Amino acid sequence: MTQREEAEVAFVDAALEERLGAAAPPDLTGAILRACRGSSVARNAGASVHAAAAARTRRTPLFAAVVVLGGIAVVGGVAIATRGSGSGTALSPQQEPKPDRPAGAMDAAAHFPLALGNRWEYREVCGDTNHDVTVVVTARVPMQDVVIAQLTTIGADRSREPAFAFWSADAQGVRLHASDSLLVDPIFSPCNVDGVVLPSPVGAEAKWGWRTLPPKQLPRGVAAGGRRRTPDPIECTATLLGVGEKLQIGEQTFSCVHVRVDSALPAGNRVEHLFFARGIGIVRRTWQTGEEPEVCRELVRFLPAMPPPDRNHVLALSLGDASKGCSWIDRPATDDAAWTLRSEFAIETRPDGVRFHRIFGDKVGPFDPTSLADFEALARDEDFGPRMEGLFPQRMTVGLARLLARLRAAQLGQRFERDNGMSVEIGPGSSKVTLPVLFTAPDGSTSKHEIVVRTSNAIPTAVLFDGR
Amino acid sequence: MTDVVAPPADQHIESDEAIIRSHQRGVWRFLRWLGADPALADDLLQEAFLLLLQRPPVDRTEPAVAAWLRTTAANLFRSSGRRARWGVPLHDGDLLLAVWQEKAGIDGGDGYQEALALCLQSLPERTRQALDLRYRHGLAEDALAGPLGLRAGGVKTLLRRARELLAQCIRAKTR
Repeated sequence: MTQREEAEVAFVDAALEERLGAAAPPDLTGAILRACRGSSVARNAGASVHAAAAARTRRTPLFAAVVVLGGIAVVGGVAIATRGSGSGTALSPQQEPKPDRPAGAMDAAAHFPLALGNRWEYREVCGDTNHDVTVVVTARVPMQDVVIAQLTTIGADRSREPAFAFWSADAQGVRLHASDSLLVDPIFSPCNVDGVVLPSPVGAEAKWGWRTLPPKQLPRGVAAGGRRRTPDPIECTATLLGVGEKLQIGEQTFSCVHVRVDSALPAGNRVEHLFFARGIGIVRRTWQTGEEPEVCRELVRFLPAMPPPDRNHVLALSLGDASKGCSWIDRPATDDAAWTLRSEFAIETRPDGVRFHRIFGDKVGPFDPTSLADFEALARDEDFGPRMEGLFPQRMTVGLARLLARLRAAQLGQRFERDNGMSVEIGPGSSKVTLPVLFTAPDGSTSKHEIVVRTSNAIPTAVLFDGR
Repeated sequence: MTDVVAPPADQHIESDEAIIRSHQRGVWRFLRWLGADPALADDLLQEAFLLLLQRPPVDRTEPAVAAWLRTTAANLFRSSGRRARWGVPLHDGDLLLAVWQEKAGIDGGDGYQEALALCLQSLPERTRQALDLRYRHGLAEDALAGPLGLRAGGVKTLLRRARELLAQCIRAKTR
């Protein structure tokens, strides 16, 4: 390899650190300008010109030592104190902001990577029986100051119905968020019941606790016509049993953080052991409730997903300058589509009307909201099939109906204001949603329309707007 | 008689701010390529801009300022005593600047990042998994052997090959 080729490979190495390692260029404009102004003041006062260098934001011990030696620690201190407000947070090329530094060795978040599409394949053993379980990060939705990851578990307890859990991981640690839904539901319904399952930095706390909701059960109150209320949370107590604990699973040895969790469920006391491996997540989990047999779930394979490319870049590569005038269809966290669809939709306003472009990963294509074929292609990309049990068909169909409402409103130059009740018909492997919607025009006038979406075996079979 | 009026202070600051905003991403990436960790890159970036603003070069056109900043940043990095990233020709200033100019000279590396994002998608799944564990999760090459089911030497070869493939792919996309 020539020296030039080696330099190019080093270039790739640095670019990968930035792209995958959350090491994006910062914005230090404010810090530099403040330091520059500090330098003018210092010179006017007859102080050393090195005061300017001291006024900037420092991160390495070498420069901190220079500050002290120069006898200008006060100026440096002022600069450091103003760093937080002055230097803007660098946004990553992704839609979500990246952490402002790579994960440290003891960061709890690094022990449970929650990137969209990450997939863990487990073997679950209970007594003499065993079966495969798959856990996938199927959605990531920003909500206030946290990004909630929807984890879909397929095959748990030999059930055909998927289970959904909601997690987040940030500087504070790995957090489990209870969702206040009637049954197992892909949509996250916040109820202010959450807790840090693995606090950061790992090892700083030996014992901690959190609250969560008990396992879902059919609510008697609803069946009797009563009003449903949020069940009382249960207390969980965690004990850190080991850091760097060697765990052999098959032929692989993992270095794990071992946590024991004790909780009192209605069915009896539950003891759970969680083993987190850095960069991988939960590699082993065992639990036993009361006198029931112990269940053990062990990792067979972890398949991390690549981060999705920035939607603006993907659109720009496809449309060129035309992408600059495009806007995006919003999907608020309260919308089923936010939790069921990964596709993004760009609106291009042209003299001859509005066009839509669908972005899925790094793919871009035109999308016609009147075309059933386009909705079928969307459903195939989204791979709804494995999740099509329980409530998911309805959520998917409602999500598609609301998406259609947003697209049609944009096409008419109006805004999808709200839906006005809906009716859902569920059949074996199929569902039909009828959604009366209200659009608002720029002059404030409103109009009523009706959306109908039918799906069968995870594929749309009809998408109708006002009967057409 | 005409009064001589100094340019308002705000104008001066705005001009400096525009220069910083326009060049800082490129200089930071240049320092990272040389081998600076993010913290050192932050410091040296600020150092370079302070020198620029205190003693501005006569030629303040964009290419001249960019070249001045890169040369200064390289000198500051050499002075820091840190080891250069493997493969970076720190000893050969001409080659160093020529490679940078070719890869990121126009846009400070933004286009290179976009091309990288697309090229990553084209890699085999196992290779992407290896890169993800190495770069996103910070696992050492030795630690990758277990999850990937490879020997340590195999991991090294896989990662080296991945970087070479990406370099080829990006070259093709940015040509």
